[in-house]
Amino acid sequence: MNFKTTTRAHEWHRIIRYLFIASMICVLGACSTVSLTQVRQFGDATAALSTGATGAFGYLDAVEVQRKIYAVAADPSAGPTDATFTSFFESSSDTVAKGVEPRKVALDRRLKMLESLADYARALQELAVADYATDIDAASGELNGALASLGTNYKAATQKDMGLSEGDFHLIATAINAIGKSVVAERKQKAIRAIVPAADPAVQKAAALIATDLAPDSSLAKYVHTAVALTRLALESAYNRERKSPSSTFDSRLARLDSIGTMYRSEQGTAALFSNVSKGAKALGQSHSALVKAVNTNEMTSQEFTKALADLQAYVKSVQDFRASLEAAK
Amino acid sequence: MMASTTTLRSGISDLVNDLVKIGNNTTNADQQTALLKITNALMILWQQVIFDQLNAQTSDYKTAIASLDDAKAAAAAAKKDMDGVVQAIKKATAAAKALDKVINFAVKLLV
Repeated sequence: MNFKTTTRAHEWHRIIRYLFIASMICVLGACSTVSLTQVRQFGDATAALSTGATGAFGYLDAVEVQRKIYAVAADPSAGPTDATFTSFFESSSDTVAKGVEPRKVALDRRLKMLESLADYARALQELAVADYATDIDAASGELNGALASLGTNYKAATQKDMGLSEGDFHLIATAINAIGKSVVAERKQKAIRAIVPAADPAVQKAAALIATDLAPDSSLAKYVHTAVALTRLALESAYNRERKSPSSTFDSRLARLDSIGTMYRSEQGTAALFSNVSKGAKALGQSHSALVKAVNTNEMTSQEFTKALADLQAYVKSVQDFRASLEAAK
Repeated sequence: MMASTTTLRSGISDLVNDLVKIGNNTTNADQQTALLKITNALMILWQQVIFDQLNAQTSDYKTAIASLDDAKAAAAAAKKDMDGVVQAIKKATAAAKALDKVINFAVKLLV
């Protein structure tokens, strides 16, 4: 080995050493200031899914009134009564069986639970983007409040305990207080690491309830689909009655057929809406579970979390698209 | 108790959907209107059983299930032969009345 070769070898060793040190700095840096973008995205998607599920219940109410109005309009011998304008969850006292609570109460409990879930997601999102210690304290407080509310409303909706005790809340508060006055990025991550695993049982149970309530084969989903189908039948009945009238024109028939076509497409979309909300709720549970695993290993992301989050975002987008199509059809 | 209640739910659901399909297959406005009238009563009864817990052991409950099966058979026949629409509506009306004995809703006002 001559001098020139030895010098070149030294240079290579030095370069490799620098590269190794540089890469270690990157890795360690990434660990301490790891991106919270996905945690923020999770919060965003969960809040949007909650809005979508709330919208699905609202859609059921609206479709029921629409069905009855169309049925009355299609029958020349029928006239409207108060019952014509009563929505699905607006059961009047004379339609409530003894010992059964009004449907509106059952709905209110579910809507409150969805609101609490959205509040939790938004507070988690706020925590992920917080820049100052005071913001972190505020977001942590909101998270605690949202979880307490989620537990209360879940119990009211199902008569079952959510699994979050006073002791759990105390543990979360203690963990956050123990974070002290450390740097903002570190405080954020520590707060998330304290809260996300503690919240998981509550999030899993709420997500499972939504997934079951609004599953495509659930009574509610089937009812909505049939109600839209009956609205189309009312339009078809009106078409068949009017087409023989001397005042019937090509344009009036075409307009009626367009309405029937729109209703036919709504029938197909309705099944997809409930399927997407239900699958989205399952993806929400899986995402949160993956996030728990990630934070338990001192990370804020993982391959599993990335995939579950992508699924959740896809379902949320489908639900939002359906809502947008309803708005456009108005 | 839960399983039987589900049977009542699915029975109404299946019958209403069969009646809707019959309505979609005819171009007779009067038949469609008659189908809308009976399905309106069945939809209200369906709403009730989605939330109510009913006792599946009563004789009224068992009669309602039998009447639903009868109506579903008539609806299935009408789907194949539209001459059976009138019979399907008649059987569905009888089923609605049998269901009302279990659900205790004033269905007589509707059909």
